[in-house]
Amino acid sequence: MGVLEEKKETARKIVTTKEGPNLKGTMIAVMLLGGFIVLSWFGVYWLYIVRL
Amino acid sequence: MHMHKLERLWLMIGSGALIVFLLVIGVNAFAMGHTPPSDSNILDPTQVDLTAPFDDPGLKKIGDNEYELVLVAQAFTFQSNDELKIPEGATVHFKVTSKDVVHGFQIPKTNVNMMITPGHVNTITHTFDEAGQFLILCNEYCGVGHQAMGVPLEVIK
Amino acid sequence: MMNQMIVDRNDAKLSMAHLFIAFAAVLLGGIAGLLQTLVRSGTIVLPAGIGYYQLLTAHGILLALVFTTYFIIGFFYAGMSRTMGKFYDQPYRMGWLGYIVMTIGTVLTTIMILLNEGTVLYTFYAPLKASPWFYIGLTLFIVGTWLAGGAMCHQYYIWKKVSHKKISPLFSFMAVMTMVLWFVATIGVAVSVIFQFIPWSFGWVDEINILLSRTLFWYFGHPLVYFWLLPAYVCWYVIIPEIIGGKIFSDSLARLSFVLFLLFSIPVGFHHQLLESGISPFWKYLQVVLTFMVIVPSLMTAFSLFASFEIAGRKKGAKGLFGWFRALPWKDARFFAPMVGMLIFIPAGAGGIINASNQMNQIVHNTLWVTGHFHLTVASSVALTFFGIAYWLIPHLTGRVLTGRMHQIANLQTVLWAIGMFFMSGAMHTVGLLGAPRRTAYTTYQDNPDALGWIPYEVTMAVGGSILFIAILLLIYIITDLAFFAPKGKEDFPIGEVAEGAEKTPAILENWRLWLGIATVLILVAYTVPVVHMIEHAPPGSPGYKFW
Repeated sequence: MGVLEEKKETARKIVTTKEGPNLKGTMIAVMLLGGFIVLSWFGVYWLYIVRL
Repeated sequence: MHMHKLERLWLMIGSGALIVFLLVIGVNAFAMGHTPPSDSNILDPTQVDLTAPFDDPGLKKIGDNEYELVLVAQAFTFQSNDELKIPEGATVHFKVTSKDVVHGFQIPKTNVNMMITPGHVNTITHTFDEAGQFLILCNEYCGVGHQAMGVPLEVIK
Repeated sequence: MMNQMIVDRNDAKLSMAHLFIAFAAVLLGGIAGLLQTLVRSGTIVLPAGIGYYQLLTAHGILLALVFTTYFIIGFFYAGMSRTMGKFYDQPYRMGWLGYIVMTIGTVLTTIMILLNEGTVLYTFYAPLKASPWFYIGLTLFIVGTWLAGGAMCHQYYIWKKVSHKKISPLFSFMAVMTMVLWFVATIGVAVSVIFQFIPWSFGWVDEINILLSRTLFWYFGHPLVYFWLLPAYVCWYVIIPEIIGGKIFSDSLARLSFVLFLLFSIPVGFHHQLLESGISPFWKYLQVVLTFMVIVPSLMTAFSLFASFEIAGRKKGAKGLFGWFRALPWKDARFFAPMVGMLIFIPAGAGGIINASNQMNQIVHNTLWVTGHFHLTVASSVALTFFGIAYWLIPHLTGRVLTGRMHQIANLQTVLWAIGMFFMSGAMHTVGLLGAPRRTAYTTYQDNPDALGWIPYEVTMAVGGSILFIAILLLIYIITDLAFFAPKGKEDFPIGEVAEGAEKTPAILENWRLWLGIATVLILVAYTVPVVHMIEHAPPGSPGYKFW
């Protein structure tokens, strides 16, 4: 890794901490929730299509 | 207003999913002709017996394996002058009104489901691809005998 | 310092007066619910004189209207008193007047149901015609809630004048927003009951416009469910962060989500009328789109809540992606009950999106799926949150404490509720997809094979209902203990603080004229054309029927 890239890397890290707290777990939790919604919605949509 | 970048990402993904849902049902409804039952015909709810076609409710053949089934909903049955027997593969246009209170019109295992409000006609179409016993039932509370309001519909080979 | 604050003694009495009626309604409504599941599954036949649909009417009115509304108003009085200080004389008196008017209305309506003069279910769809006194009771009930809302708005108004602050405490803002939503929503049902139902049921006019009455009802009916939900959101946003030792994730986003609820929860009533004649598919779809807009603030809420959990957990040293989830105070009944409610809101919300999806409504409309759906939303997410609030609110107001033993019993109550609801609502969802209708007594439709196939699910519903009834008895035991017998002491009224470094709340969020203006425009856009059409192209109206 070149010096320049290293500098960029640290700069990015500072930016991320400035972006606010670590919310990776939150993001995964809401994505699971979203996945559940999408799956159940298409489940019933499929039922609708089958029963047409 | 400041928002955490992951929250912004989540809201974009979430709203994106909602837009996909809306597009799917929008295209299915308006481009493929599956809008929910929304008939705009009206009649005098106290004169149903004298108003065509409800003065003679029943099954009429209108095309090649295509039928119109006119029914009058009333507490606590669906009135028809003909037996409810149709051949396999038939397309049936249901045309229903109510003589008294609000009723429901539903056939389990199909998408046939609509409200029957007095003074209004409601229509829905379904093709019965498989033979078997079906049940037309009222799914809106209409009085003390509501649970008895169901009639069999037979699809024969 | 804030946590030392307690609710003024007189305000506490006003709040408790509401909570007592709320929980009495839970007990009575619960008995009706238990009997319904037993009748529907063919387990028992009601003793002569009591009708299934009479019980169903009582169940709906006692739980969906009486329990929720009394609890919400009692909770808001206490929380406003806690965050803004003691109620001023005028709003305080108006609060009691509202209580009296609401209670007269409740008693009158209940008597009519008991006399079998109002067996029209709590949606009272015309042209089933109840006694005029049934509708007058409902009117008084609504007028009482207006007085309560007026008392809260008045208190808020005086507080702002006296304190010279642009931004009110988050709790009070949310309470006032909920009541403003309620004012706008109840206009619909009030117009319908006063100008359509009462003159018609007295016989002063012969006919009623059915479609208009249904449209006015559902103009009210959907924001009604948000009126139940928003107080639960108040607990999730403002109270839970304090209980878990965390902070409110963002004051501005919390307020923004409430503003969005005001804007988008009203012009959406057609998604309850998707399968009806006389409304064009275009206007139905337009309101479906608006309905989907109201999902966005709930997506925001989901993120904010998980974020406040994660931040609190990480501060306590929780490691890994989900260490914070385990670090939550699962043994604390004040947290556990609302948290289970929040988790149940995930399938509840997913079901709601399905219900509102235009033609997909044909799969679920008026089937037991819908009953299963709102037993997850209002009867689990909202109810469990309200129970969780009561566990600290009642001892706070009565000068007692929630003991460790009571925490355990309350957690058992939550577990029983979740199990009972899993069976009951799960069976309802499934058998609904198979086509079993809601609001229907035991029937096999002359031994129709499809209908016979539903019976095992209906038995499962009865099993779930019985577990839920045991949970209700446990709840009543807890509430009685907390109100009258728990050890004397001081129970906290938890109010969360905003996270450090969160941005200052913009004053525009409290600009009522702006938000009410936009809400009005949206309502006019969504409703004017179809309502004018249903008046101009109305069929002759309907006479009334008493089919029970």
